[in-house]
Amino acid sequence: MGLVLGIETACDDTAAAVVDESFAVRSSVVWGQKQTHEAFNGVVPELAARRHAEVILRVVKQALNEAGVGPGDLSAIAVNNQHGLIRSVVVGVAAARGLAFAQNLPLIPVHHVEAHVFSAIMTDPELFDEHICLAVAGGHNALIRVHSIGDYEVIGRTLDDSAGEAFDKVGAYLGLPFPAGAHVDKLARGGNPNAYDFPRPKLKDGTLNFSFSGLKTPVRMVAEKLADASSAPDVAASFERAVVDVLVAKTLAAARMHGISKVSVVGGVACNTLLRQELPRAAEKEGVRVTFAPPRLCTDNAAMVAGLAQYKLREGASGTLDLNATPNAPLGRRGANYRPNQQA
Amino acid sequence: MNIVALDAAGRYAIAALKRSDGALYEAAIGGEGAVRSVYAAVDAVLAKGDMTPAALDAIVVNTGPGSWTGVRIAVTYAAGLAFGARFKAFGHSGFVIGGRLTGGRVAFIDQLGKTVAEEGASDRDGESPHLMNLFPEASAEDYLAARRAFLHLMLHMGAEALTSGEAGDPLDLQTTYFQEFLTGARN
Repeated sequence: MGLVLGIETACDDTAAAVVDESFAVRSSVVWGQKQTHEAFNGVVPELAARRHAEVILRVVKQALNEAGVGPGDLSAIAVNNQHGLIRSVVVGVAAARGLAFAQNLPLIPVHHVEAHVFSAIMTDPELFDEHICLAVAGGHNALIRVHSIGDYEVIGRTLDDSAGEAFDKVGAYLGLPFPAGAHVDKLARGGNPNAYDFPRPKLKDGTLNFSFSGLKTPVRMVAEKLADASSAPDVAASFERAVVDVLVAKTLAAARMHGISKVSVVGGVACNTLLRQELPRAAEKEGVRVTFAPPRLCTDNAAMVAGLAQYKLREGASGTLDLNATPNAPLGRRGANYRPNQQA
Repeated sequence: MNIVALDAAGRYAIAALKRSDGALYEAAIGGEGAVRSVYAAVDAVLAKGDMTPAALDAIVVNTGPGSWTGVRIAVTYAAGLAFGARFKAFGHSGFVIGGRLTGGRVAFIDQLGKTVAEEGASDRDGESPHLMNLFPEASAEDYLAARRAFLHLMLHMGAEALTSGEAGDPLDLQTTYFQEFLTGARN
């Protein structure tokens, strides 16, 4: 039985996981850096890299221990080397190269965003077929037509901020801890989503692109004028409703425009409660089937990296030890560009 | 004892291998970027010595201060190698290595000649410390000669650590940042 150790250090989570050939997650360890960055309301790249270097081998050891295996029991090592903060990514690559060289194992390069796409496929075999993927997190926000695994067409992307980034900024306006996505979600549950009529950017522009930068300013203006904290849940709920309205509308528009009836949702924002309620509800009316990645695979993790590597090995990938960090790599064999303000 | 020493804190990534039969091999790689140089230096020295990671007893790393990326990659790569192949890993800051290299008190100076740190002790009162420039504008040949002396001492320190039975847990290997060294947070 082949086990793959995955390593993930794209941003501020140090992660390692062991996944078997059937994509079953034997272990998944994520060491977050919340305390390091919360004072800055954002991730400080140099500090993130330092923390990764401090803990990466401990995280790897814990993942191996929880899976009940040692380095000698692995059949390959996989690492995200193609997306994220360069200083963070090189730490994961260095650890992976060291481990792979030590055990003479194949080293499988993985693209972070592709691993997120695969996080839904790992648990829903129907998604091996063509589908639309809404990849939405703090570092990316795109609608991807998944022709097949490895063959992606970015059909919509944010022109500025990602939805996850907007959640973090709005959380800061409301005095919530960083990262704020889960806190805004929780606060919104007690608020009125119709209390404030925040804009739905690019909702009716006829494209599949997003823009969340312009949504932050009206939310900030309202938040600054709040007389007391009792209205904060209404602000959170109204903001969340605006974001989810756009995500739902654009995702279903993508399915209609491309004639595809399967949709997946991946990335940190895929954990959002309202999105998980509203998208399936709206999709059902249009005969579209929706799969959300499991919550534990939504935020950054290494199980999705190891899972994708298992697929690549199955398809004949041989790996290489001569692997370096290329954190702005395009996505898939078409060279799809999922980043803001750039054409595919 | 088969020991590798690795230093990527400066302008080059330099590695040395001392085999149990006494043979010494060295490799210095520069100009390819810190990250690639670290891997290339280790690969080269192991290839020269016809050695695999599984045959090593220890690796000794300069943990900095120095090039942030170079040091971080060297320390992480060394820890990964040692953990994966189950050999020991030891780390020493460049200040400690430099201090020991001079055999007495050493003052580290910056580009302006200002002393930024001192290390080691002298038996003689009033003896001036040996000055070591953190940013030497030496020729490549002189620079590499100086770093080679670092590496040879690191190999010796690794042998000492193995002989004395130090744990050398790869998971304890950490980088040394300049500010942390000055504040005593880490050495």
